[in-house]
Formats: sequence, structure tokens, C-alpha cells
Amino acid sequence: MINPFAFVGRVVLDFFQTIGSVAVFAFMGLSHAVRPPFFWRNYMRHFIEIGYLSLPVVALTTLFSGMVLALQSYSGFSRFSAEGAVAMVVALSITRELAPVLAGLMVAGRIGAAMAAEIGTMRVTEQIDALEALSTNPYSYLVAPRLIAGILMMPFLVAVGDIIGVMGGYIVGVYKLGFNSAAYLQQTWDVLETEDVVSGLVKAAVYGFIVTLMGCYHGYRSTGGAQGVGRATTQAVVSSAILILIANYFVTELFFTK
Amino acid sequence: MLKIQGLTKSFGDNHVLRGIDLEIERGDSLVILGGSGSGKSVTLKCIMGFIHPDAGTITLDGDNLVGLEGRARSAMNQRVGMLFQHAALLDSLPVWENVMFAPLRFGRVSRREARKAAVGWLERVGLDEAIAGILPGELATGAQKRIGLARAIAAEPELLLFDEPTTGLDALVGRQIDALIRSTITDMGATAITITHDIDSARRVGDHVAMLYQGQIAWSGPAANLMQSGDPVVDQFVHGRLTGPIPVPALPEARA
Repeated sequence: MINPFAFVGRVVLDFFQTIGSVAVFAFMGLSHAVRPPFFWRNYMRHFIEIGYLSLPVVALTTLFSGMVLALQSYSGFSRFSAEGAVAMVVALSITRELAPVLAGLMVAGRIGAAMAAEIGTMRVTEQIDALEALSTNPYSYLVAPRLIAGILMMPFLVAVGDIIGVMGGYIVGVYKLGFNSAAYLQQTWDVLETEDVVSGLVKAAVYGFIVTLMGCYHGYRSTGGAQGVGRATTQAVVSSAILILIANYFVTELFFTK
Repeated sequence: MLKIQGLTKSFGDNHVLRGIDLEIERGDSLVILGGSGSGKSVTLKCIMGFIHPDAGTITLDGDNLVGLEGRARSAMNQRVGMLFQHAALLDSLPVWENVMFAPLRFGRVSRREARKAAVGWLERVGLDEAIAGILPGELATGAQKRIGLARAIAAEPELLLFDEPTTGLDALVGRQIDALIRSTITDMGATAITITHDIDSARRVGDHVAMLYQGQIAWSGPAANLMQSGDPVVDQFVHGRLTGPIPVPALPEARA
């Protein structure tokens, strides 16, 4: 018969063990990002992979989110004659929330999964052992470039997503809902404050760190052949998505709680 | 000289190594023979530092190999080359970068020089220059093993480790790999350890053979004496007998 106290204790211990393990992994990865050797080709590869090759998916996501937001807020606000707030809602929602969160989730699916699969495959095919045999620290070679690329490239992606998302709202607002073009842009410009954009970019950096950390961590620790790599990939995406949503609350509170 | 004394390693209740003692003279080739789960791979991983032994010492020309971390481990690994069981080539790098990974990593050569040198190493293991620019995943297992061998020797190490070099290869390619290993050891004058359960390969590659059984060295001697060792464990293993001191699980009787 299962002892309920032992069961709860085991779950709690496993939870803290995982947190500790992730924290140590993150520390090792980041510490190797600030000390030589630096594998610049790997850094460039991941900068391009995250910052450039993820652009289409982030652009499409934010474009249609901005468009939908304009439509939804117009139909909602028209109930109490507040249609004029559409530009404001689109600009604030996109820059503060939608662009960073949607970009984070998209990159988690695209990059986090790929990282977990690649590193997991390297683990089960002894390529990580081979790196060590070749006097190369896997944290320097594999983890640090990915973490830094995630932290630096996600804000770039979100900045582009901000512009495209706002333009999505503009397209619907001006060409479908009949807003005046100049007035829409002016209202957007007037309502946006530096803090709105900066908070979104900080969130992006945090999400970039989360996605790459989860991808690397789960891949690095994968065991058991193809099945283990598949499991690592799933865990990387699921844990990234959950942590992004949790971190979203805390970063928002950090910026906007007076 | 590589010296292993009292090497012990357990995983929970599974006592894999129970005090291994081995001495390999410089330039000598030792084959560690043994069945699945006998502790061959664990021994090799202890030498490479992938696994920390519970007890015992390993020294290379008097320098300790156990418990090294960071730069000390990195410096020691530059003195050791390893051919992995499935080659373990970095599949994101072309063949020539795999071969010259260590020299490039330590800035000993420019990329142009490295590419040129890689072609020389590839030719040495019987491969054509044409494959230098392609990714390892596009090549057959035998070619991957050769590239793994080229990578292991490109840093000109003092100690060479070969993990099941003929596993997964047909008899002809396996024979070629053995011949390459043998000539490499002779040409470089490196100390070599090969782990395998392939008897023919062991006789071709080794000067000496050590038989690992139940975590201990059951027998060791010249490779030429392997087939007439007089040891019942070695005798059963090398002749593939189903009866003897090594327990063999009974199979269900074949249906008529």
C-alpha cells in the first residue's frame, strides 16, 4: 500500500531536485558564456537560427494577432461608443503582451524543440562524450551559444513583431473599419510610452532565456535512445510554454505594479 | 606506460568493476575482451574521465587520470585519442572539421591549413579527398569509423582507445578497420587499448589480451596464446561453448 506521506514527500523532493538541477545547469551555461573559449561560429549559427529564421513565423503570428485585435476591440468598444480606443488597445496589447508571449510560444515550438532534439541526439549517440574527449566543454560549445542567442535575439524578434502587429491593427483599422490613417498612427504614437515597449523587450529576453534553457536542459539530460529524445523534445516545449506564462505574470508585475 | 590499479566501480548494487589491475607498456596494444556487461566500456569510460571510479588509480606515464576536472581534464584528454563505438562524429560539421576538431579548437592551425591537413589524415585511413566537405550522416558506417579513427589520431595522442571498433561492420570492412588500427598503432608508437568481444579482431589488433569476467581480469597474456590460454573462462568465451563457467541463459526449444 502506498504511504501518502512518502508519496507527497517524494514529489516535493523531486520538484526541488529539478529546480536545483536546472539552476546549476543555467549557471554552468551562463558562466561559460563569459569565459573563453568562445565558439563564435556556433554563436553566429544560433543568432541566425533564432533571430533570422524565426522571423517569418513571428511576423505572421503578430500580424494576424494585431488584425484580430483591431476587429475584436472595435466590435466590443462599439457597444459603448468607444471605437476610438482601438489604436490604443492594439498598440498596448501588442507591445506589452501579445508580441512577447506569442513570439515566446512560437519560438518554444520551433527552436526549443529543435534544440532538445539536436542535443538529445548528440547525447544518445555519444557526440557529447566525443566533445569531452576532444577537450571541449559541452557547456561552452553547445549550451552557452544557444542561451546567449536566445537572450539577445528574442528582443529583436519581438521588436519586429511589435511593428508588424501594430501595422496589422492599422491595416484593419484604416482599410476595413474606416479610421483615418494619420489619426490612427498619431493615436498609436501618443499612447505608447517607452516603458510599454521596454517591458515587452525585457519579457522577450526572459522568454528567450527560458526557451533555450529548457531546450538545452532537456536535450542534455535525455537518455534511452529515440524514445528519450522524443520525450525530451516534448518536455522542452511544454515546460517552456508553462514557464513563459508564469514568468509573464512576474515581469508584468515588476513593470506595472505601482 | 598506462597503469590501472584496483579500479572499482558500482552502480547501486551492480558491482561492475571489482578491482582491475592492468599495466600497458608504451607502444603496446592491449585488447580487453569480455562479454556484454562485463565492464569493458566502464573501464574505458573511467580512463576517459566520463565516469569516476569508486576506488583505484589510473596513471599515464605517472600522471593521474582519475578525478580530473576542467583544464586538467582538458589537458589530459589532449594526450588521449578515442574511436567511439558508433564513431560519434559531430553531425553538424563536415568531415574535414570533424577530423581536425582538436587542432582547430586549440588554434594550432588555420582553417585553410586544417582542411589541407584533414585530407592527409583521410588519405591515411583510406578515404578520398572528395568526402572532406560532406556531412558525416551521408556516409556509410565503415567510412564513419575511418573518419573517427582519423579524428582520434589527428591530435597525435600518446594513448589511443578503441571502443568496439568492428561492431556493426561486415567482416571485410571490420578487417580493414583492424588493419588500419594496427598500422596506426605501429606508425605512431602510441599505447593502445581496444575493447571488443570480437575474438578475431582481438587477435589481429592486440599484442596482449586481458579477459574481463565478472568485473575482474580472469586471464591476461600474449594475443598469440589466446586460443590456448588454458583458462576455462577464456576457453569457453573464445570457442563460443554453451557449457562452462560462464552461465548461458537457456533458450526455449525450437519448434519442429
